[in-house]
Amino acid sequence: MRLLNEHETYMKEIVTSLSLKSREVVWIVCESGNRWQNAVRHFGTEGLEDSVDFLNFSCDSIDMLKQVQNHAGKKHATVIVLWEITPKTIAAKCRVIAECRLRYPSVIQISGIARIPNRYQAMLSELGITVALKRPESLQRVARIINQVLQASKIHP
Amino acid sequence: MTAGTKIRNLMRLIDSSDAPMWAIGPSGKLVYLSAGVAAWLGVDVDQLLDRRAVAGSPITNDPLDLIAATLSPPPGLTQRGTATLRVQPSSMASRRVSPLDVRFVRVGRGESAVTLAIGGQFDDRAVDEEISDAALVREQLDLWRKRHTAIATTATLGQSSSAKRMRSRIEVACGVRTHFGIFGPAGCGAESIAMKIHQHSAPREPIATVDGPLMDPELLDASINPIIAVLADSSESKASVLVRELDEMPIEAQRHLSGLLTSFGNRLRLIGLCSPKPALFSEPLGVDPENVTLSYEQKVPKHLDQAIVDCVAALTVTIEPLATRCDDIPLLATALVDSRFAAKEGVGERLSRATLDAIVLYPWPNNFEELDSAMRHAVRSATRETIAPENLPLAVRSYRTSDGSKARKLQPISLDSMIASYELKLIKAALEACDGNRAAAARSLGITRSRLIRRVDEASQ
Repeated sequence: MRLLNEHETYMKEIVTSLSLKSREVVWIVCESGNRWQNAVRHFGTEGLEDSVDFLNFSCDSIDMLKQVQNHAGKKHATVIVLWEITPKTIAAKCRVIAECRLRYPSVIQISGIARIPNRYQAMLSELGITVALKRPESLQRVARIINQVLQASKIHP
Repeated sequence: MTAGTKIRNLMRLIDSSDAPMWAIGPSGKLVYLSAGVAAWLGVDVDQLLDRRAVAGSPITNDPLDLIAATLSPPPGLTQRGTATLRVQPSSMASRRVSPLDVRFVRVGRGESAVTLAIGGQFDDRAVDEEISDAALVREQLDLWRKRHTAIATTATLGQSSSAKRMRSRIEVACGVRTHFGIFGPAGCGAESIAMKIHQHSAPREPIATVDGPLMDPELLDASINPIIAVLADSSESKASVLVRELDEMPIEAQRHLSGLLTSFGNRLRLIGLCSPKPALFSEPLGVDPENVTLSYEQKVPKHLDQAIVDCVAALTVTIEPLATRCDDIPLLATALVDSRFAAKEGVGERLSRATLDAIVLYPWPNNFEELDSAMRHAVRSATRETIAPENLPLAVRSYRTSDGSKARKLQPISLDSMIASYELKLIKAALEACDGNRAAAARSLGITRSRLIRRVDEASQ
C-alpha cells in the first residue's frame, strides 16, 4: 500500500514535469497584411525556453474567438492575441476584443496601432488591451517580458 | 541674391514672388499686401492698406472693407499661434475671386504681435503618422546631440537601457585615465568609441594601435616602439596602447604586454577591444588567482592572461548586439541617413515606415558597421526623398524571418531515450521503496525480475 502511494506521488511528479515541458505559447495575429505576423515570428521567441512550444498563426477577426477557444482551453497554454488596429477596423475589432476579454480573461491581448488618436488608445485598454504597440520593434521588449513572466511562473507555479 | 540681416533682402524676395502674402498689424489693420494679393484679388492693394482685417468688424458699404474683413485670421490664432483657413473673398465687379488656402502665423507676443498670412498649398493638417514619427525621431536625435556632444559617435546612440548603460560607462571612462576594455560583437564600432574616450581622458597622449591576433612578442615590440620611445624619454611621459581583439592575442604576446604594463606602471595604459563580454568579468575578481591563464569558453578555448584581465577589468564598457536592442535601430539608421544626406551623398532624406520595418527585422550580424554601409547604399540608390525598401541592399530587403514554431519543431527528440529515462526513474523509485529488493520491485511494476535487472544494467553502462 505504501509502495502504491509513493508510486502515485512519483507518477504525479513525472506527469507534472512532462506537462511543464509541453507548455506552449500561442500567438494569434489578426491583421490585414503580414507586418505584425513577421514581428511575432522574429521577436516572439525572445528569451523563450527551448522546452516551451512556440506557435503562431494569423486569422481574421471573425475566426479569432474560435481560435482562442481552441487554445485557451489547454491547461498549459498561454495565449496572446495581437490585433492590428487602424481607424477603419477599430469599431469592429473593439467588439471582439471586449468579448474575448469577457470569455477568456487569461488571454493576453496586445494591439498594434496605426493612426489611432490617443483618446482611443485609452479606450482600448478599458476594453481589454494590455499593451498598445506603435511599431513592430517594440514587440521585442514586450515578448521578452512575457516570456520572463512565463519562466517565473514555471519556477513558482 | 545676397544674404543679410537687413529686411530689404527679404522684402525684395517677397515682392518678386507671386505668392499672395499680407500682414496684419497689432491693431488688426492690414499693414502690408504683396503684389501676389493684387493679382489674386484683382484690386489695387494700396486701397486695402489700413483697413480692418477683423472678422465681424462693422461692415460698411465699401466692398473693399468687406474684402479686408475676409482676409482676417480664423478664431483661436492667439492661443494656437498658427492656423490654416480657406479664404474666400467676395467678388469685385464682374471678376470671380477663387478661394485660397492661407496659413496664418502670429509673430511676437501681447499687444505688439503681428499676424502674417501666406497663401498656398499646405498639407500638414492631415495626420501622417510616418512624418510625425520621423519628426519624433529627429527630436530624439537633436536631444542626443545636445546632451552627448562630447561622445557623440553615432554608435553610442539609442534609447534602450543597454544603450543608456553604455553611454554612462563611456562618460565615466572619458573622465578618468585608466585601463579599460570594450566588449562587443564584431562591427559594433568599438574602436571609434575607444578613440573618442582616449581623446577625452588623455588629450594629446600618443597612442599605438595593434591587431591582437597577429602579435608575437617581437612584433608587439616593433609595433608599439614609437610609444615605448616616448615613455623611455621621460619619466613623466604617458602613452596608451589599443589592442584590437585582445582575447584573440597569443598568450606569449599577452604576457609580454603585461610585462610592459608592469614595468611602466600607470604611464602605459591598455585599451582592450574584446568579443562579447565573458562571464569572467561579471564574477568577483580574484576567483581563481592561482591560475595564470583563464579559460572562459569551453568549446573554443580563448585565454587571457590574469594580469591583462586585472587591467582591463578596471573599467569595462559593454556594447550589446543590435539584434538584442531593436528599439535603437530606427534611431541609429536615421542618424546615419542624416549624416549621408548632409554630406550630399544622395537625395534620400528619410526612411519610410516599410523600410524601418525591414531593417528592424534584419539580424545585423555585423552590427553597426553593416547598418552604416546599408544606409550608405540606401541613400545613394534612393531616387526620392523617402527611402523605400527597394533601396536597401539585397541581403536586407530579401531577409525573411523563419517561422519560429517550425524551427522549434525541427529540434530532434529521441523518443526511445525519453521512454528509457522515464522507465528507469520508475524502476529506481520501486527499488527504493522495496529497500533494494529487485524481485519485489519487479512485482510492484508488473514486469519480470530479469527485465528489471537488464534495464538497471543498461543504465549503469
